Amino acid sequence: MSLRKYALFRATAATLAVSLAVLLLPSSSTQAADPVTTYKKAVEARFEQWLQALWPEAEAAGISRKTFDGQLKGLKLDWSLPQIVPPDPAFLDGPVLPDSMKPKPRHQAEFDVPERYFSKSSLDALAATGRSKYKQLAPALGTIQKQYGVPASIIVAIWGRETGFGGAALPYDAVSAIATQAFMGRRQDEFRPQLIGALKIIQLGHATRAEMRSSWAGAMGHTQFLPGDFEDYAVDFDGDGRRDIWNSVPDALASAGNSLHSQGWDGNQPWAYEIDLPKGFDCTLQGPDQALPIREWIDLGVRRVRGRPFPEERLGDWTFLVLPAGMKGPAFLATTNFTVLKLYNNSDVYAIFVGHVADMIAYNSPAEFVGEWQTVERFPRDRMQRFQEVLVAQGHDVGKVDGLVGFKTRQAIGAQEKKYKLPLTCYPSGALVDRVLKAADAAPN
Amino acid sequence: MRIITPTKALILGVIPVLGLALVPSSPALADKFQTCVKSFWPAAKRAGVSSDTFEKATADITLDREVIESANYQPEYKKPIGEYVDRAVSPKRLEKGKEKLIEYKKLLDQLEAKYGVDRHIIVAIWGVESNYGDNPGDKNVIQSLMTLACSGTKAKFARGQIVSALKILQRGDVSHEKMNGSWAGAMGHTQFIPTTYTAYAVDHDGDGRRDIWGTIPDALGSTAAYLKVSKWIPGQTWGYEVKLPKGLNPNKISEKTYKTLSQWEKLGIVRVNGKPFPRSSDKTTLFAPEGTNGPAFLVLNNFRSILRYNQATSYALAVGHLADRLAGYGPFVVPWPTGEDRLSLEQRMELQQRLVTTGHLEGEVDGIIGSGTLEGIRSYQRAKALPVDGYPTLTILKRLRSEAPPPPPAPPPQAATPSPVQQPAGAAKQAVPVAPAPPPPVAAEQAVPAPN
Repeated sequence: MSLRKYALFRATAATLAVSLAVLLLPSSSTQAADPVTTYKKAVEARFEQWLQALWPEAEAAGISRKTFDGQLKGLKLDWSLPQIVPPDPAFLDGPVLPDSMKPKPRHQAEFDVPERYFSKSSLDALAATGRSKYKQLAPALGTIQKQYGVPASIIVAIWGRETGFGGAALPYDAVSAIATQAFMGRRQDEFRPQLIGALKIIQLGHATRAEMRSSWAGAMGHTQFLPGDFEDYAVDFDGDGRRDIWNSVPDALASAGNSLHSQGWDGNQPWAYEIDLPKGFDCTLQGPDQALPIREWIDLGVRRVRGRPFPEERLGDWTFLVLPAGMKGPAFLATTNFTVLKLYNNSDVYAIFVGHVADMIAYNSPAEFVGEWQTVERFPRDRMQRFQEVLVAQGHDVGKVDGLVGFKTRQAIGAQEKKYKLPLTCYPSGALVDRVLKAADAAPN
Repeated sequence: MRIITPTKALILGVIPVLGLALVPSSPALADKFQTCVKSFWPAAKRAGVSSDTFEKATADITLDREVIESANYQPEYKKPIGEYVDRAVSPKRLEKGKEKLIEYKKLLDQLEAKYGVDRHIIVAIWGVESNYGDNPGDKNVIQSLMTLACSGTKAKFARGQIVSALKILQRGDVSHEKMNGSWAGAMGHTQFIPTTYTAYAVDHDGDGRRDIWGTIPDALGSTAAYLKVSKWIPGQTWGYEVKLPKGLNPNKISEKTYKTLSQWEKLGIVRVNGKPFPRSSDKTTLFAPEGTNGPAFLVLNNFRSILRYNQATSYALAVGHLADRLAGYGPFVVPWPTGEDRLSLEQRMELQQRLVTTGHLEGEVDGIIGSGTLEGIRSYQRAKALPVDGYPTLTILKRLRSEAPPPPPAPPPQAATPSPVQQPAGAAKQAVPVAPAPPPPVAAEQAVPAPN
């Protein structure tokens, strides 16, 4: 960019707000323009200002003006992304969010009911391809496993789960997806540093903008790294001088191994133990906030499935109870490695899925768990959210009030079941939700 | 001779021995500790702790054996509640608290107005928790908590604190170097543990940081804020010392029996000063830690608020009493019981004085049984070929009396400032009951009120 053009650009940026007002005011007052177009235009203008305001942060991170302008100038919001919360109004006294654009609740597959999430067919399919990749890439995987102390089967399972072994199309441009999420996503604060990180990758020449395809949430390459993960954990395993998680499978898999290792994977522990609970076990004891050494779980009557003993030398390990479907599904004692897996995707069922597929690959374990994922009722997210709100009002801690059934919500349900003297399940049932909501509606405000 | 905290006792006594006896930690052991420390990263990351903060906080920490020893410490001498309260409400602490009331008058005015918590309670907690900031603890909090979490002693407690502690560093409320506390991670002037800090500490001086380590307005503001959320009722006291009617056996009344003051009055319970209870409709419970042999109290809701700070009833009583004394009220009217293993303050001081005179003890005669006094007793017991248990009993005191001339009536030269409660030895001697304390009277059961 020439100096003159640069100066011109600066002038444009500075007068943006003024020209914006000039542009928008007549259109919104004189003619009945399409409200969606009007609204989007207003938000895009705000977005452009917002991008410019990132410069000091980017400069501090070592990004050149050339990279900054080259990547962000004229960048458009991606309105098709999930998990966005468009500003309403577009800005103070600006156009309001048209009704047709109001978000509808969506859910990620991770929060589907466990029974469907763990269907035999999806487990089998992933494990079958996983086994062949495991054999095919044995030399590289062996080195990676040795170097990082993370089982190759875990890395392969993640690879399969994240991108179908690199086969999944990544439909988004990482920079626009991340910029959109940082500007108006549900988790803006988390994405803002990722946007700077994405620019850094380009600045340092690790990848071109065209290569940086991503998921809607900006996760890139075979093993779905965010720019921050890339910076911290990506490695050049094949020795070509580039940390290429987009095109080099060895680089991608080694990077995944390095990420797990650096974040505390303990090579001496499994990811979890499937367990049998004694009859009448108190399911409110689940969750990472109630971890106990394995030997204390044994004292509480917990046993490994299939009559296998826990390894003698691991009895002092702190583990916590995970019951994704309450008492209506398999039970697990999760190790520290389980929490490391959850850094990839903050979901219990995700970690169990990956861990189980890894076991199917490494030990030819059957697709079925010993416990059975029973059919459980499904709830619209807004109803579950209302249910959580009532539980909170009654003094329960349900974690985030988000309509999802996390461990704290399951704990709270168990506490509520105790109060009503119902059989303990620690999973929402229609009867319980109705009863709690009805009682709340009947209560005077 | 003030009580020595387990940690300090260990620094003085046990640690050098351990240092000789133990080879330095093996690399494998250190490795195990580091693996354990690392295992807190996922939870920390999810709580918003950056890898920079985590690395900095955990880079130089090692397994701290003093922390483990402190956590495993079992006191050889379990103080009776009366002795605990005497120690917590020592004349020195009272005097210093009065100075603090004057020095921080403006701040305390603000806090009373903002939180509705009595200034004397705030200062009393400050005094009992950290001796007005003199003993805030000097151990790195992350190292202490990681040591507990990774060694198995009080691990469950520590595991619940670590992420909160890291979040304090992440927010920049205090630097890693300054985030010190007790071996159990109780921090600063207020001795908040990290989870309590996270939930209740306030930035009273408005500098953007909640600094309970170095900023007294933040520290005292945090105490007041915590009491407020613990449902402190403004304008109410914590409790009244009361006289029980003959025949009422407090041991037969559950500490969960709530009655209004007027209902208790109907059962014959009156204030020790003979005055009527203000607001006779206040609900209270009976708290008589020594049964009919010591002071008894009717305690209000605010007593329970103090218990939120520390759930020992002896602690709540000490705080409440120190607050009353700071407000100008007198000592308890009914004395604490004395007996074979319950020496009065005067007897404890006499015991120390006699040990000093016979050369078994050095230091200040203050009536506080610390590890020094216990060692002095053991030294005497060894010299006399008695069973060596270090326990301060009436038998030991009597034996000392029978062997040595009475100590001089004047305060010993070592004691720089004689404590005002110290009495001439002769007076103390007279006060000593020769026989053990009488057994609790067999209660006339019909006198016990039936619970309504």
